[in-house]
Amino acid sequence: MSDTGTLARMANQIARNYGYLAEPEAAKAVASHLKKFWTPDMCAEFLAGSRDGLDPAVLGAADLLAG
Amino acid sequence: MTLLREHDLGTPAVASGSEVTLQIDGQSVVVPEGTSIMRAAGLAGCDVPKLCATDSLKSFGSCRLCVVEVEGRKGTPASCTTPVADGMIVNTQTPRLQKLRRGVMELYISDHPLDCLTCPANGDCELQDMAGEVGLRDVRYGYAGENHFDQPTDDSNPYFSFDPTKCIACSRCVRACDEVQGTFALTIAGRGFDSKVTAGAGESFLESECVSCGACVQACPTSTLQEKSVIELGVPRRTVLTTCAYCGVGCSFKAELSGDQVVRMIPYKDGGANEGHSCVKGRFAFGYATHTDRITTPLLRDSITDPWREATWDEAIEFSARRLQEIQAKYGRDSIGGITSSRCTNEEVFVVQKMIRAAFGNNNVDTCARVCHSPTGYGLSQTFGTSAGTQDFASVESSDVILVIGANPTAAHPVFASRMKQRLRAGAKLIVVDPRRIDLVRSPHVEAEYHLQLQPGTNVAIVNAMAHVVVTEDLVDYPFVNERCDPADFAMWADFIARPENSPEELEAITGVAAADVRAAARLFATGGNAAIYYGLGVTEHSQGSTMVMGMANLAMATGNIGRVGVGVNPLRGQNNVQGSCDMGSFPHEFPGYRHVSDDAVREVFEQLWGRELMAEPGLRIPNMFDAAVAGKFKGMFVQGEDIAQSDPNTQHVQAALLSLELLIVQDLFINETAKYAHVFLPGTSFLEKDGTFTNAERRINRVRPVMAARNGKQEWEVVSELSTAMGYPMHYDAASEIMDEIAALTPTFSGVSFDLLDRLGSVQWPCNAAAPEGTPTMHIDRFVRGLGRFVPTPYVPTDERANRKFPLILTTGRILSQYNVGAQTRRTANVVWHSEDLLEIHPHDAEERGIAEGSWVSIASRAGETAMRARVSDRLPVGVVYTTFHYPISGANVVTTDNSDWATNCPEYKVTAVQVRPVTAPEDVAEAFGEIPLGVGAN
Repeated sequence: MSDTGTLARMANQIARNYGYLAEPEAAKAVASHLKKFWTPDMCAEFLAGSRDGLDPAVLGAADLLAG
Repeated sequence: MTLLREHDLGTPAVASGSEVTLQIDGQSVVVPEGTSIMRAAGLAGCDVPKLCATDSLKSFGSCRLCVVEVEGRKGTPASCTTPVADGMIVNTQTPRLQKLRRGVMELYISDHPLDCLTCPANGDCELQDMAGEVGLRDVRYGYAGENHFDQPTDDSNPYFSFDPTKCIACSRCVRACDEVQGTFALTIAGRGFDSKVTAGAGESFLESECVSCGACVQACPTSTLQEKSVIELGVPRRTVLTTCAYCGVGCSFKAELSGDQVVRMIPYKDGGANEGHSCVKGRFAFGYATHTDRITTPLLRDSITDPWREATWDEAIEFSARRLQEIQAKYGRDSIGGITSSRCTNEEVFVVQKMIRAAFGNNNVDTCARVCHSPTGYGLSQTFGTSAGTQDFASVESSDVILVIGANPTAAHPVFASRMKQRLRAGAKLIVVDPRRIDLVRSPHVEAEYHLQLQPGTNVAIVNAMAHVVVTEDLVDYPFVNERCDPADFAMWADFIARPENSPEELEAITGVAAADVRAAARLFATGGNAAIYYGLGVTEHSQGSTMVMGMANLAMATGNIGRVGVGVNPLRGQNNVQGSCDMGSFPHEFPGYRHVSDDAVREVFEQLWGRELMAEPGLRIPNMFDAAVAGKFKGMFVQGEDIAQSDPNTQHVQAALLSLELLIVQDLFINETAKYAHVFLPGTSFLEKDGTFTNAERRINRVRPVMAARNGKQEWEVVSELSTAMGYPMHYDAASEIMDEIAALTPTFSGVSFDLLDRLGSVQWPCNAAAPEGTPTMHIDRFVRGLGRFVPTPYVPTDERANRKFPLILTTGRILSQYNVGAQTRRTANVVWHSEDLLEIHPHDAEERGIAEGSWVSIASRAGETAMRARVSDRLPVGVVYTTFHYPISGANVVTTDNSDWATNCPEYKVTAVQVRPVTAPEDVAEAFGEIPLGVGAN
């Protein structure tokens, strides 16, 4: 839906604001946020994109969403 | 209705726990202790003649017309300044009183032009009424004595004139400016016979600090201060009660008409939000509704390079529906969507989101609240459980400490600002958190205890520092927290906020605010009594807008400042129906009433009533729509009453998105910037034509009643219903009230709302249901909507938008009193006399360093774009920060703003843009530098 760079940037920004949480809670929070506010297409596009440069919490969230 | 004249009881109501009983003209009356005899007489139906008294102002006792006799007391006291007493026996009509009053009137009339038959106030003049009431038949002194007949009229103000020959020096105008508006622009200059009303320091009204709220005009008992529209059109003949369509204060007005022509707007004394006060926009700037630029016939074109052609409604509906369906057939169900408008009624918004969810078959609906208060929705939902301000406006009258963050109420919410200033003048303490020295920091008889002049983008650091002080200095209201809040969440938050990195000292280098001031402000907030937070877009339009909202909620909960009158967390909404448009399910993830689309039980309720299967996943937000359009996946858009090409950030990106659409439908009053990219223009209705409701910042649902016939021939909800029907999802309502009935049936917080209820009560604040049949002025009194209040840790995350050598200044944006948002309305009124162009405010140091002089043209360049405007050198801002407004498309403030946004909601980060400013000789220089003309300069 958007370019994956934008989606990755948005996801990293979300993760930074959950920085007070330790793993795996941070990943769960990011995944929950994406599911609640992103369209399925945006999530799918994000998951299909590169994972380079993603915050660890975002990587964890991606795994949760993909699973 | 015929002209509605509200009963003027002469002096304000008194709040008192005890009552007294007295007799007036033989009638027994019971009133609160401290009430004036004049008011008691009015309540008893025995109005006392008066000139200097009116019940919006404190008693003054100057005209001597309201004298009465009190049995057992000597003399004839003024009834306006004499309080009642138990057992008092008052006579208001005796031969002695009548003689005294006639004598007073003789003196007034001996120095008053006898031009009643040609006076614009003829029939609407208290002096005329009183002369009749006291039986004046003769003036023994004649009319040849010394007088004021040679004084010139001041016509400088575009909306009212000041004719001092008719002035009786009652001081009502002066007192209205002082007591009601709080501007102190007027005074009585001179003494005795030379006494005269003067604006400013002997200037014209236009040159003075007068803010044209019109309170003085309304207070004037003669034609001295008179609306020019009354002079031109005559005294109005009938009244329609309705609601202002400017800011989120939502003032109630009496639209006063002669035939179908609005003569004037008078703020309604019984209006819950404004209680008889108004600002220059609401009272005077309604002329756009009948402006010649209004489009009242549907327009179509196949390509945006084609000229518009006029069409019938049927053609326009068929064209729109067919093209939308063709796009969906070609690109998929999710390739279209729409935006609702916070300027439209709840009913109009509701049908648009319903059309998108049910007829379009997706959740690609968003609202212009995306770009203003979407972080409020997120932040308050997370912490309190629902997206709404916690108080009514009257609550501020019980506040002891008022914390204003990122808001400029005197410019953007002026009627509430006046109410707030009344409380501040009465002794409440003020803390202002703002990069700019807004007027509230220091204005007549108001001075902030603390102005925390932080660097743009560091709100969260400041609120964390304040909360750190509360926690580490043991200022937490533990009884409140233990009873009302989730203990585990509080423990986690308290542990987080107590960390050294959140201390004022650690954050001083980031915020630019002295730690001692932050500590002192935090102590005041925590210990100063009822502490209330009021905030605006300076909170929300940041990369951490949602975090800041949660940070303020944390602070309020930690100090026990929630759930009673005088406290709370209160968003000052920018547009008239921001609250309502959000309530009505305009966000892509929520149905009306803030319920997520994935909630099966909720969705089933909507599916059953609407007869359509609805999507369970969120749709696109506005910025997602733009991105998807640029990516070629989003092709059709319905835009209701929002000028996204001017108001949304990173104009170039918005333009690219709009150019990528195969169908853009705009429903609006004027061919705005967005309509230049449209294929269909559906003419909309102004607030004077609408039938429905607005919900203001205090959750108050107010009726919007049609004052004149719809110029386009249709209500907007009718047009949307027809479009939906043409797309295969039949939608039909016979009246706007039926839409509200459907809203009530679907939305638990609105279940008690109906037009009948609103007509009966005047207005109601949601939740309005079986538990609160007449609404809820204060929320979260016994429990939060979510049950226990939730503290959320709020780590400060600096924005990605940083100043550097190339872009060393930070641009922040705001509003000015006389203009409104993108200016589509106010630019088409005489308000342009006060603000005819957007200016760049720049600190004298930064200006001197760049060779920029007052009024000279400058370029403002950011990573996103460049525009030009003229400079205003001002020390309101700290060094390194510049400021502008966005009321004119030609200045293109959003050419330079970026697509950075709030992490949780994608609300644009309007308030922080790194820029460079350089002098240019003319705006065209900017275009030359970039090789093409940017939107903001010249081309449009």
